[in-house]
Amino acid sequence: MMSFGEARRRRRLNLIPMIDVVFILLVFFMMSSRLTAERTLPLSFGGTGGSYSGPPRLVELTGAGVTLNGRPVPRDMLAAELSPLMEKADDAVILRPREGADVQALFAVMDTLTAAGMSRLILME
Amino acid sequence: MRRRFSDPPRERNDVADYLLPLIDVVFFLLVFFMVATRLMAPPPFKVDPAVSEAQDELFGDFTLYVDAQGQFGYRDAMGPEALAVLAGARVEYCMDADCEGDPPRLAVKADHALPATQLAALLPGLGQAGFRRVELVALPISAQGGTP
Repeated sequence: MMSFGEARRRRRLNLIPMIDVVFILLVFFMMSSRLTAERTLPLSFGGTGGSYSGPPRLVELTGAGVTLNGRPVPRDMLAAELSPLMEKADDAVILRPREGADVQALFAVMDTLTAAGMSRLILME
Repeated sequence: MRRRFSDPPRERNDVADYLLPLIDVVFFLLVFFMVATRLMAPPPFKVDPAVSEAQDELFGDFTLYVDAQGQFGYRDAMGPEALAVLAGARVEYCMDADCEGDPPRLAVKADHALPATQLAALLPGLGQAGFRRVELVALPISAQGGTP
């Protein structure tokens, strides 16, 4: 009769070191993650190609408000005032910030125009 | 009279038994954070971006930080050096990627209080560094509660 030897005791995996490693990985990923998804708005600037056609569409941002081709316009009316000057939705609109306008004000205007479907906003000095 | 001081030592497989639920939860959390995390280079300084209604999520290949005073940085480089490093990083990126068909996107993360004139003044330099697609980074409106 053949003998296969003594039945070996099954060795158990020691779980404690694995738990240590997994905890360290967990803490690393928790610390390095930022869960608020940031948003972006595409921006064109002078010299990136593309042509300009049609009537002037110059939006200037000042500390006091917004002007369209030099004429002050309330921000909620801006898209309505601009649309007769546009031939297509991707016609360029020039944004020119002036003294007193910060990036938050620029975003407010860009949001307004983007919501109205104007997709090509060119920021100029 | 004999007194029992403690339970007899537990068998070893008991340890594994009560640890298993813990391991399940920890693995679940680990996988969640691994999937949810997008690893990015740490910012060179703190920037508090503007809020916007924009819907597009940030997937920029490069991120340039600009603080409220107009100082800008990319990775560890500040000022004009940052633009040089950025241009170099773009050239390196373009060796492997199709930059003609799908130009790399540069995300500009500017502080909400930065004068917009300074942002506009920065842009031609980015064009010279070779970037054709620039995106401004903002926080979604829902995140506004945390910012002053």
